[in-house]
Amino acid sequence: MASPEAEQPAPLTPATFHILLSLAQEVAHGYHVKRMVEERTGGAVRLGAGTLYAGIRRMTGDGLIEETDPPAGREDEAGERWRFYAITPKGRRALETEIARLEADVEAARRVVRRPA
Amino acid sequence: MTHRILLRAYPRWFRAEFEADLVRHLDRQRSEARYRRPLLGALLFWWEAGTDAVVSGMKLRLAGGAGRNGEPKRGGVGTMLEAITRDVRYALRALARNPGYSLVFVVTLGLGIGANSAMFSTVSGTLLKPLPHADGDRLVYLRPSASLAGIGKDLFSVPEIDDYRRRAPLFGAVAEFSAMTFTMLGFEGPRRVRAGIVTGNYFDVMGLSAELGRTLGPEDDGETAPAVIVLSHAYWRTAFGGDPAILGTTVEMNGRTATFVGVAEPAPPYPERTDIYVNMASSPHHLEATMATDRRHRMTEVFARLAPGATVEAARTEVETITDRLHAEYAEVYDRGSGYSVSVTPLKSQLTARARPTFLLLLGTAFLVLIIACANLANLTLTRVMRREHELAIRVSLGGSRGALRRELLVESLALAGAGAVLGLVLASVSLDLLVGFAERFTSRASEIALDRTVFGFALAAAGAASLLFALLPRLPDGEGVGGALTRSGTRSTVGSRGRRAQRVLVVAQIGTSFVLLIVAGLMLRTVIHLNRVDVGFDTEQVLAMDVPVDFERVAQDFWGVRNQYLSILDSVRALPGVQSAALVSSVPMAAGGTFSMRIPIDVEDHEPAEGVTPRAAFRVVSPGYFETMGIRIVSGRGFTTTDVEDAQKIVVINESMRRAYFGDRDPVGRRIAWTDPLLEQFLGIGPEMRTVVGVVEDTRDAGADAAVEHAMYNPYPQIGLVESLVIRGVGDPRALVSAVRGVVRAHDPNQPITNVATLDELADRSVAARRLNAMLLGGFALLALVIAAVGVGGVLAFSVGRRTREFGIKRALGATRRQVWSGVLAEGAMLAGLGIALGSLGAVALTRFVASLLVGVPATDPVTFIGVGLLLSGVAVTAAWAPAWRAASVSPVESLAAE
Repeated sequence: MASPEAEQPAPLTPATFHILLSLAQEVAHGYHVKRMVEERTGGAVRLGAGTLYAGIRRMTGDGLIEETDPPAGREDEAGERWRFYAITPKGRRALETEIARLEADVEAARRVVRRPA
Repeated sequence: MTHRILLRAYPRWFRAEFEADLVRHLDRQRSEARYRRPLLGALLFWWEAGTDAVVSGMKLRLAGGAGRNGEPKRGGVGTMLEAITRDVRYALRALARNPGYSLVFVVTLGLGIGANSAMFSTVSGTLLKPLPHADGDRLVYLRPSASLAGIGKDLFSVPEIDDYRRRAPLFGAVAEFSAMTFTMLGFEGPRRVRAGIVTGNYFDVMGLSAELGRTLGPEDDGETAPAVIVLSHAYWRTAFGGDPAILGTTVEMNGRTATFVGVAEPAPPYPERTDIYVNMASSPHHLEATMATDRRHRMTEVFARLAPGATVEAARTEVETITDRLHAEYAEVYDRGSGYSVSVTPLKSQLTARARPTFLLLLGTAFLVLIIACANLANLTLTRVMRREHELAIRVSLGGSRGALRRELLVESLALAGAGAVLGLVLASVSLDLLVGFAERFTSRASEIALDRTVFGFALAAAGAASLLFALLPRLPDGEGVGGALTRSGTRSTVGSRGRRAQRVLVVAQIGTSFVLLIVAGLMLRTVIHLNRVDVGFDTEQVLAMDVPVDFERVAQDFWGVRNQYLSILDSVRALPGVQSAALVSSVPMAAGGTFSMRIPIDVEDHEPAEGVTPRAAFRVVSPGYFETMGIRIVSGRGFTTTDVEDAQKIVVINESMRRAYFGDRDPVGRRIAWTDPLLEQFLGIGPEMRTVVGVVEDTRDAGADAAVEHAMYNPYPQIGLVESLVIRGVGDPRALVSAVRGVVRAHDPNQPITNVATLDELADRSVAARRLNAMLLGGFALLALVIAAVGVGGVLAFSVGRRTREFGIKRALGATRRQVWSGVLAEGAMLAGLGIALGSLGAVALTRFVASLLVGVPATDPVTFIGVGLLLSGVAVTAAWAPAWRAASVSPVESLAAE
């Protein structure tokens, strides 16, 4: 029988996590994702174009996100035809798992740091 | 939009998928960055986006793009090996199908890499490699000079050396070296050897140890020490066959018995070839009182080892200060008008000072040849890819990946370039002996030239870089181009037009670079021609010269005996059959290292020298018959006769440039001049009395064709001075006289050595030999470049004509004459050549300044060379365009259209 650790999916990379988180909020194109990440983290996480689109490509391949039609009213934003992405149910599950994993980590860490001497 | 260049960092398949979004993304990112921080923003954007593009681009490439539509990629070491083997197999098969291309490729690159490896090993072995001396970087060489007196190199006296040794703490240790030629007795015949008379600390200071036996030490200093000899490694090898049994044996030298005590480790000799190193006690001259006390008795070289922490710069300043102080303290010894100074040079650069400009020039030239070769090969590769366009397009359309095509190209060019590198290294190693012989003319470090690891690395790196260039340069057909390429049967395509533009750029670059090379070679050639045309002032045909060195020990004991012996030898030589005339002279013109080649202060009667100027003249001693034998014309007055003896009137003969300088148009015969150097009186008994000018002779260039004419004053032998050389004018071939003359000298004194036997023609030739060799090497490189460039022009036009058969057919069908088509193609060739020559001229004007120091009698922007090379190059280019133009003109309109 496999150990409990083996059943756990590998932790998401920071880029994957932040892209998923942004797309969980709303359907968006690449640059919009980048902006959302920067705003949410106060500029602490900055996704470079290459990292971003390579991530999008990989996550599309893994079925975490999918390309989708532009949301109503934003098909032709400033004359630009961006490709929009939405999170898939599989992506949502992966995000939930990651959040749970992070919470567990934080919980474990707090137990160490706040334990009275 | 410059930042779109960042897209290039991503693999093609990734770009194909995201290009539109990536471009918009970068656009926005940049304008936002600029909006936030107007000045820093752009920089920050480039930094962030640039590093991201490079890093993620690399990751994407490594991951591979086979997974086109998101399907998992194939990967792993197994498939990679499989792919590589397949690529190599494909490549070899493709090359075997095209042996002509492969051969041209390998030979061209081989020549380029060979030339570079050879020159690189020369530069690396002589200019770059550390000295064999222990801690050789701390060794410096001190050279006094008196530029205004025409003395480029003077020597030190022992009191001067003591001053520097005592007052310069930055020198950790100072060693003395003086060169003399000694005769060693005790072998079958007398042996003349170049001896370095050195202080006991010489080997210690130089950081050299004994290969065998011992070197010298402090116990060898002083008058009472026994005479000992340390053999140089080279002399031990050549004269004694490397026999260790020589140690402990003795020879007679300078009337003393000297013992061989050791062999020094191999090291480049400086300032001249040295056969043996001896202690001071081996040289009676060095034990004389004047040697130790006379500040003017300058015959010693100085090598010093810098103290720990001392820099060459600091040592220079220190020596300058000491020199100034010495001049103030001993004002009577130092001639204020002579521009006396002492230079401090690291031994390493001193050893190669003469070689550096020439070697670097040749390395640069070889590099340009390599560039031209690579440009040509790039052209060839482009042509080949364009020829195979049809095949490549089919493979892409059938699902072959462009990555695989690119890999195949890379494997092909790696295989070819590897073969080229091997050929180049073989060529370099075959020519190594020649190269060492060439380099020996410039530096004593020549023997250190070898094909070592650095050279191998260099050749491999050159081959690697070249194959990358050849593999990445050609554009491969992309998806959209496929249909066109297929339907139009390869007559026109995206690959073709871009490739042809690149080809033209490459051809122009080749012609431009060849132009620069040809100009440099042309300037060198013009220098050699100039030197061959220079009138040295002698009639060099049928004259034999040799040194019959004076034994100074005998002179000291029996001055008159030595003098009479030389005169008697001269008489016997004159009496030999086949001898037209003969004479004795202080040193043979144009032979290296004449004893009395210094310019000595003079006093011209009724001539007031300008303030701070000491008039000087070259000091020459010649016997009667010298001017006839050497073919030097007597312009006015007379030459010397047998009646000009010791107690007759003191006379001199001057040369024309001296007459012009001091007497203008007036006749100098009857005017009087004196030698005023106290050293002459002290060592040769030539006092400052006035000597009457009896004649004027034409100017001669005694230091060789590339030297300036100097003021010279001839003294009659045997009235004054010493002579060491014999010149003989024969009736026929002067070489035929050698054995008879040897016999005469032997008959007078079996122990009298004869050295440096040569005809005057040979000496004149030798004085320009190094430059000629240099010009020949450069000329060879330039010729190679010219041939490669011609092949480039011809090849590109031939290819372009071949592709445009239809166009020419249509032109002919529309009424163009053969002549119009023909001249159109020729004009195309001429335009490429013209553009190349124009760019080359700019390059040459900018670059020839650097070779100016190697030119004599030719300006660096010599119009004759520039115009000549321009004509030559355009001629060659038009000739190369001839055949393709002819083929274009021969296109039959009917056939070409029918073929479509």
